[in-house]
Amino acid sequence: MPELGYFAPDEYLKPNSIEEVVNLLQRYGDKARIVAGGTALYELAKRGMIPQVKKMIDLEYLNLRYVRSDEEGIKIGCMVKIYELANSPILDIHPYYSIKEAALNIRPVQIRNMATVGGEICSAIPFLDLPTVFLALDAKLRIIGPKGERKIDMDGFYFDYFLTSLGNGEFVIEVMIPKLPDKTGSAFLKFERTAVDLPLVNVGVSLMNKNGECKNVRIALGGGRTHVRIKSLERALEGKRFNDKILDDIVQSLSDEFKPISSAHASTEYKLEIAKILLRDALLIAYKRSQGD
Amino acid sequence: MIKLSRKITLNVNGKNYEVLCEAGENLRDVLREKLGFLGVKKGCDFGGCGACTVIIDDNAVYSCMTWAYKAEGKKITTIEGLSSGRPLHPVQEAFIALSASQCGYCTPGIVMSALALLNKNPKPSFEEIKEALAGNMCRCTGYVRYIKAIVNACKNLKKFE
Repeated sequence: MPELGYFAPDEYLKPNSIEEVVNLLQRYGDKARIVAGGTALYELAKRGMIPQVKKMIDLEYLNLRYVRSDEEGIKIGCMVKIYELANSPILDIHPYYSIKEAALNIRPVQIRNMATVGGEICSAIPFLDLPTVFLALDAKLRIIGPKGERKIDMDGFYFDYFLTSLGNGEFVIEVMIPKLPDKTGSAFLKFERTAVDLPLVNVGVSLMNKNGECKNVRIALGGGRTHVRIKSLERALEGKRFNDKILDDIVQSLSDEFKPISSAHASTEYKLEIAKILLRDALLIAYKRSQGD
Repeated sequence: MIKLSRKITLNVNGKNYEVLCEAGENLRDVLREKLGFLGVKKGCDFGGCGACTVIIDDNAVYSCMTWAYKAEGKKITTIEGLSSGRPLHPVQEAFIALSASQCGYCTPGIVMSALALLNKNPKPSFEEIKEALAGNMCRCTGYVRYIKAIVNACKNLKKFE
């Protein structure tokens, strides 16, 4: 980690095209930082964590503020503000509704009005809500860089706290959520100390209901060192019918798979207990929704 | 090292102001220290207390977390622009009538949050008011009078227009 120090950028750039952004990112490397909503960057700056940043690159003029639906699925531009996501009628359809739930529960309203989808994803702070939902819905990221465009699964995007797989000169321009089959239900739950705090842990779940059996199970959790998918639990639930015993087993085996980081707010053990309860509830909600309720 | 300051134009309360800004400056400091809008308060400085709340393009935001350059070309409203020379705004009047403040430090921020809510939703429910005030901290009064004042203000909104 670089040394702490005052944040003293010398230039605030407002590029008008994607190529320009790539060029700037390549030219300045670590000295440049992208400003989306600016909220996470401000907190880092105030804590003295980014003294090396000299160029701020604002993406506001790139026309990346859209939520649309086409035959591939739902596409969300990285500069969409959280409140726009929370108000978007496209996300009212069932499997995608958990995105809306997560967006609506990001508090306070001032942050919803400033923070962006791209910022939530790329700041790689493991407590944020949207990455958890996106992971649970199998989202893909469209990344632009010096070598052109690449599309990656969001699973595997995060390496560690503040660390993503974005290379030099690359940035995320779009989140794509594939079309989910009928009878898919999703849910998002989180636990925070106060209404306006970052959550201690959050859980996103989606599953498809095939005549009572679970298919395409996705379980994502935030609150560890990164956002993670818990694949062993997904496999354990695949093809099973819901009953109390299965749920208990799944929830109990979470202890081996998920390690929340302890903080001044709560210990690892406490967060893990909360995660188990949230996971159980989220699975039940998703299952209920998959039946079409 | 050279520091590039640039003149930017900020539209505050319907008037354009030209002001010399550095890249890392936030909107609150510019409004308070360079333009003299002292109704924008400095509280926690971390996007948590809401004392610095201003309205940018119809949305309540924290001015401390808004980079000054980002606000360029947008419509900024501070508490000073609420009544703009006319009698007090109904929200302000309702706050006074109910004495809905104690030390008064958080009040400008709360009035701005309330106004942003009422502009979008002239008849908010109790829950909606609570949601809108979630980002504003008051350590004196306990919010009950604020909420009552906002409910009262709804009744007088029409007359002001």
